[in-house]
Amino acid sequence: MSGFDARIVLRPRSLDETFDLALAYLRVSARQFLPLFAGLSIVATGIVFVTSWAFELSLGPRLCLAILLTPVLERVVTVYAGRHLFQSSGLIGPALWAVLKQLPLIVVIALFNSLPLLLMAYSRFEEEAFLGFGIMTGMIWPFLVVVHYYLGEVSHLEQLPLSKAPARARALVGYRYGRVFGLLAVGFVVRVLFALGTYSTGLFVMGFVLQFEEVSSHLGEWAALAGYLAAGPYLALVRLFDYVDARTRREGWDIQVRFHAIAQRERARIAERSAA
Amino acid sequence: MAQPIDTVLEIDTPEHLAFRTRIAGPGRRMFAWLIDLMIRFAIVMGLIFIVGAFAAAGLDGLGTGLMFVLLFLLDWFYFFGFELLTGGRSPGKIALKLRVVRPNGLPITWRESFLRNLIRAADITLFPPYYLFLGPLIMAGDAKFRRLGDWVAGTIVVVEDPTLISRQVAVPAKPEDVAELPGALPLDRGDLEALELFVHREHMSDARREELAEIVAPIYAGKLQQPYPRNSTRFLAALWARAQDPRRRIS
Repeated sequence: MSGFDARIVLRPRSLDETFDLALAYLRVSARQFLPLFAGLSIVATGIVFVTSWAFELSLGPRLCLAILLTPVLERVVTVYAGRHLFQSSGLIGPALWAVLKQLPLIVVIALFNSLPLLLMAYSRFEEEAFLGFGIMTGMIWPFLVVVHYYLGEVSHLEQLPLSKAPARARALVGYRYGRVFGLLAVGFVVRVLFALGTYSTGLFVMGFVLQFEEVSSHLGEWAALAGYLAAGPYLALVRLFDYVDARTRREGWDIQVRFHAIAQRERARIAERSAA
Repeated sequence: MAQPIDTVLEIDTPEHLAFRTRIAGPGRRMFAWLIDLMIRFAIVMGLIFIVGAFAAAGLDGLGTGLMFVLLFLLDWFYFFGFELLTGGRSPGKIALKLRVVRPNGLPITWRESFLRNLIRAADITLFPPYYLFLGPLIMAGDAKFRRLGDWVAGTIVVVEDPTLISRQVAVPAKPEDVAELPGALPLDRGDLEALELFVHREHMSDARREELAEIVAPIYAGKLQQPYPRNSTRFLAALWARAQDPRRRIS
């Protein structure tokens, strides 16, 4: 497998097709990805649970912690999947280590990216001042986030230093603001759907299957939180494929693969002729 | 190495025609379903208005009864009716360019449509007050993104996205470059497909285009006994334009 041979067919794709591709990729590589996804989601939920228990956190701070943890999980998946996509095998350890080395930076970027949401979540969407400020900043925030949307992919997969990575990320987004904005919006909807799905399933299992007479609302909250965290790895995979799409359109990755194959074929023919 | 992963399906028709089509995933299908849901909601609103009119005329019992009958028909036959009338498309599917077909690409019959819509209720399972969305989960895990109803009826949902034949060429060829090339081109289908992608690709910088062109332009120039191209992008554009010339000969 050469450095250009990807496990997916390289071609420009629409946004919904990118989401479908991530599902197809997960299905085919389930043995590699499902343990990773499950492990990351369980560890992240565990961290939130232990921290909440130790510091007696209410729902607001708990949500904030989950929002800050999600980008860390996503980066692990980005690095792992990036290697898996172009190499014959991927190891979780090196991916984890690559992310841990940049942990402070990832947390700072996560803080910046989700500032309006954090403000609103901290007050459990109830405090008017926080809510107002969150909504006001939230109107312009997506535009700021979108500009550097592929920063994680660029800094980890292309291993660019922080001085060069933002410019590179901006260049990749430059001609597709609308699409990246759509990805951001759909990503948010997917997170909410995951949270609703696990909330509903959690309550169903406890109340209907196990026939507990009184199902605590806290259980639903925890199930929703686990769902929110579990959406992160999937969305990281979607973002990676969207980054691949950006490079395919901008840099003709698919054309490069085809041209190299033609060049290789012709070289082989010439060698065959000269041998004869 | 295993086949690269993609979301297209190769369909072999009974006439032994093979074509590739995109399978519709959960996201697109969910949007189509939401559009249909809104249309049905609008119809229900209309029904309520009609019942109001009956009530005003002192026939509220008849109006309510009629509404229940119409609600039942709407709930169970909306998709079935539209799929029969339009060859596998409800209004939501039409809006998102989706179509229900059989695995061999043929249109569905009333049997398939009836079965897949009968099982629709199981895809959104209700155990009041709990809701379980089995359909999207099953779709996500299936290679052809089929929900329970599709499994039972043996149908798939595909995206009807017609390929645009006459697209704008991003790298136009210069007539003088084309004139220098011979009529017989040593290009096979793979070469032509790669060249087609190259000349139609937008958003690429000139430098990157040239970098890519330099991979194959000297090879083609050698095969055509042409001098080493000064501008590889121009050379490939001319090669593509020559290949499009109906008077050309492909060796």
